[in-house]
Amino acid sequence: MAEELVRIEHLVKRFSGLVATDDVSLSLFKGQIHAVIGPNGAGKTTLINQLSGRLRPDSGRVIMGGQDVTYASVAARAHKGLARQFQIASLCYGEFTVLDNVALAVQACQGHSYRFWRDVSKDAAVVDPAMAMLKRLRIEHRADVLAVNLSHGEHRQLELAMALATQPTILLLDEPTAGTSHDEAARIVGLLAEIKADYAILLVEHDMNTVFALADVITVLVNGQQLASGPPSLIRGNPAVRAVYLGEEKTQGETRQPQ
Amino acid sequence: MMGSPRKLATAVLLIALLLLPVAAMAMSNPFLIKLVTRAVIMAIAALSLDIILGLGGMVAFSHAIFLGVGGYVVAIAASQGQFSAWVQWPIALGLSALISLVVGSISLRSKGVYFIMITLAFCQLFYFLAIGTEAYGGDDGLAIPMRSSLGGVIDLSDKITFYYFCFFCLAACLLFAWRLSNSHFGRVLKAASLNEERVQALGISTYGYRLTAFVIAGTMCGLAGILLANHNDFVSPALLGWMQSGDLIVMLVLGGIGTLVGPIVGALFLLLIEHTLSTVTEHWQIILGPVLVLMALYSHGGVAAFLPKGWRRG
Repeated sequence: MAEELVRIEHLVKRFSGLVATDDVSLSLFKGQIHAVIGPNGAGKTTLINQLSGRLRPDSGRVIMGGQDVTYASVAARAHKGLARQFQIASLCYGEFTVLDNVALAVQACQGHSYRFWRDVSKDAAVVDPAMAMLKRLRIEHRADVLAVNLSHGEHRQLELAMALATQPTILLLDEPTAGTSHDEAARIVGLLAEIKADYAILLVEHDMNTVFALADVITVLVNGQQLASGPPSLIRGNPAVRAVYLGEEKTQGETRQPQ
Repeated sequence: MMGSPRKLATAVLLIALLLLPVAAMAMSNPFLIKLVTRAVIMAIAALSLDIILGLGGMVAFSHAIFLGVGGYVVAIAASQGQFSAWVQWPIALGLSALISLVVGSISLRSKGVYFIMITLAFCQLFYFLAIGTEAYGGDDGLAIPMRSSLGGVIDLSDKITFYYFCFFCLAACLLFAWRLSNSHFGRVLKAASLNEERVQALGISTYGYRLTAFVIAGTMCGLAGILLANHNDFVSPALLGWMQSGDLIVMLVLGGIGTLVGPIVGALFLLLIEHTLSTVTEHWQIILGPVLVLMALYSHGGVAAFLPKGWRRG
């Protein structure tokens, strides 16, 4: 059995009457990609927010590496090896260059940054790993571009580079291929397949091709509830899932743009 | 990174300040030296505020407290017959650091407009403390019979020596602030002001960085307070009123927030414009007010915005 890095137990989150997460339990294992799918408003992002620490659940527990982190801060969880890729592209620092953004992530995993004199942009211990990460995602030619000038797809890659640069063990990916070109999406899928052995990955994704190409386990959320959970082959054949989600997706899938 | 136009402009500014006493003597206008000395001291205070406001994004209305702390320590020590800078100054700087630690650790627990209100309240607290302390002058303030003594070579009561001493302090603070803004620390501070949530998601807890910046800036402003008290030979509660904090923010707005050189330009500009306008009319604020409104509306980069782009990027 693979190593269990995260476990959530009976998570419940209500927003004034609306139950956004309704008794969800799942585990993330090292080397596995666990995809969470579901229609808009199913509570996927709310679930990620509770895992990352941005939202506190109303009940239930979040356990990382055997420790209860239900009430730990965002920074404390990140320190324990959790990295999150943000869905909204504007969350990158537009005024920073691509390289500076990734270098900041490198700084974050190298201990404290209470260093007041040396020019950080000339510190090889920070710049070299950041540059290596950009090369890995093949966006090194954009290193000196301000992040605000990146295309949507490049933003996704920058977000992924920043998440990986913190040297996490757990990755929360919120639609990593949304808005990317076909080539970029294929590159990201390829990269995730290549690196997944080292991480426990939670993947929220609308694009079913990506999900079925990558996922080892799929959880289907509908109205905050866990409709089904299991390997892709089972999910694909599950009549309830087909009815509420996959069927709908199939009929619209050809024309629909991922958000 | 410092673009070369900005480097050039900074160098020109510093050389102009360096040569000022010579020019003032040539024009036989010694008053000019006194005016610019004050501007140089206020530039140190504005520069220190730029570290928290410009780099760190914290709109603090508490900054005049540290002008007051630096100034009052010098004045109180002098009133007790202690004139040695080696005694006065470490106490003044240490107390500035300590008080900024306390004010910062409480204020930084809140955000946005609440942060502004709490820092404002702290400023008023110290203002009324100064007014209420009759033993040290209360409302009337406290005269300083003799300037701080550095012993031997440097005589701060000589106005040209004092000017160059202040200039040296400003240059040192500018160098430090510039290194700081490009350091590991500076990048985290800047990133936290742009997007705190993203920084925390990377595993950096921003509170400590902000608090450290607050203490650094408070201490640097304490130095400005020490110099200002020596310059005026006098301290009064007005030194630490919230309007004084507002003046410092105005200097940043005028000169360009977050540029480090901007606050120096802003301090010079504000004090010179005040002086010039007040020779024209005693209601000079009627003219200054609209100028500030126009600057705030149309020039977010302050005076620096009218200069080449490389000047502005930090």
